[in-house]
Parts: sequence; structure tokens; C-alpha cells
Amino acid sequence: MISGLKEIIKPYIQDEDAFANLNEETDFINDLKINSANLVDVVLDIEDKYDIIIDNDAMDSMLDVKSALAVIESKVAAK
Amino acid sequence: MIGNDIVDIKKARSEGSWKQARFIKKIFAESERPQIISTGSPFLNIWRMWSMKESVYKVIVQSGEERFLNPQKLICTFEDEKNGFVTYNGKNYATQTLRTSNYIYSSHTKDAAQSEVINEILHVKDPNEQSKMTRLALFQRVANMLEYPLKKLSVQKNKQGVPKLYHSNEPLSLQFSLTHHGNYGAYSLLKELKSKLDD
Repeated sequence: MISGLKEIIKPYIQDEDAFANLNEETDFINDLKINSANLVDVVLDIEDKYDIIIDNDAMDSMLDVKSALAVIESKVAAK
Repeated sequence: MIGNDIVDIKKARSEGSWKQARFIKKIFAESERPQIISTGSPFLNIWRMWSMKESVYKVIVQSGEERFLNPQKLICTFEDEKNGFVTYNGKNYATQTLRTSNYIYSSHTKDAAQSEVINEILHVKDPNEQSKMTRLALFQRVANMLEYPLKKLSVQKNKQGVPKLYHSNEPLSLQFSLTHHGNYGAYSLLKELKSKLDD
């Protein structure tokens, strides 16, 4: 699942090194330097790819890889 | 404290997601959606609101709150072309917006009466240099203001991602905010007025 997420965020990252070293602890803003408007695009792309709906309460935490994966996993499991 | 946010109009226009209803629904609460089509261009209203939200969000995070990705928690109200406010957790935060044909720039200053606000907006040719050039402009201003050598100034981010200014690895108490998008970058700096020192 982490590789699926990596593919989604690739167009938006502004730090190649952090992207190459991406892991669960990677922060979308502090490490990958994704701008915040694009972070909303990431959430929309995740919804499309996994065919899930991410409500605002779930989106609230999606600032790093670990939180994003947790949201995807729980939404996919609830389908 | 001060928060700012700039939107490069050309870049925002080139990224199509603002046209999508889904994008709008993620960002704007139902109560603020009518404002998008209230006056003038929906595109410009969307990005003005976005920059208002971001500028206030930065001050909320600077004040110690945990970060969050939930723009609907910040509700925008326009007063006129320049002035507006953002409501967050029942409190209103005043914002000022400057719009040119190239960018939309919003800022929010806490305790505005006690300080002078310095804003500088710069055009950055290479978008990959936006962060570097914006920081450099800030360093130049601070170096002039405090008579520090430019090379001794640096910015380090804390755990929350909030940037802090350092002089020779000593933290400075200066309040500021940095923003960049596309070909534009800006900093806001709070210069405390002398009377404040008498407290």
C-alpha cells in the first residue's frame, strides 16, 4: 500500500531526496514540501485510487505517510 | 504572531482541481460556499478564501495547537475587497488581502496594535528557488534591522514545522511568517513598537 501511496504523491513532491527515502515517518509538508493546496489533491487522488470517501474528520490527520496509510486501511476495510 | 499566505494566480489557474466540486467541498464549509459566487470571479474568491484560511491557520499552529488538514474548520467572511475574517473555534481572526493580477496575498496579525507589520512580496524566476529566495529576502531585512551579518542568520523549523529565526544558532524572538507558491514568495515580519518594551 505504501507504494500505491508513493505513486499518488509523486507529482506533488518538492523534495526528491525525502521522496527517495520515503517511509512511514515521512511528513508530507515538512519532509516532502508538498504545498497545502496540493495536499487536498492528494486526498482526492487517494479517494479515486482506492474508491473510498475520506470525510473531513478522517482527512484531519493526513499530514504524514503513517496517518494516510491508517486512513486508507480503515476506509478500505469498511467497504 | 503573524501568518501569511500567497497564491500565484497563474499556477493556481493551471492546476485544474479548483474547478472540481469535490475540491470545493473538501475545503469550504456549506455556509461559506455562497460567497464563492457572491461577487466577482469565483476563481479569485476561492483562492482568496484559501489564502485567508492558511494565514490564520499558521498563527493557530504557531500558538501551539497541533497541525490539522481540515480547511473547513476555518470559515471565511469577506467584509470588503481587502478586509475579512476567519472564524475558528468560535473566535474571529481578522485578515487583510492584497490582490494584483499576479497573486493573492493574505495575512493575519495577532496583537496588530502593538506592532508594525513589514510585508515583502517577491517574484522568483525559478520556482525551485522560491523557498531559498524568500528566506534570503527575510535575512536581508533582519540583518539590516538588527545589524547582524547576513551569514549568521538561519531558519530552523520546530517539530510542528513552524520556522524560527536563529542568529549564530541562538534563537531570535522575532515573529514572522514565510510563504511561497509558483513564482511568488513573501515574508511578513512583526516589528514590535518601542512602547511594548516598557511592559
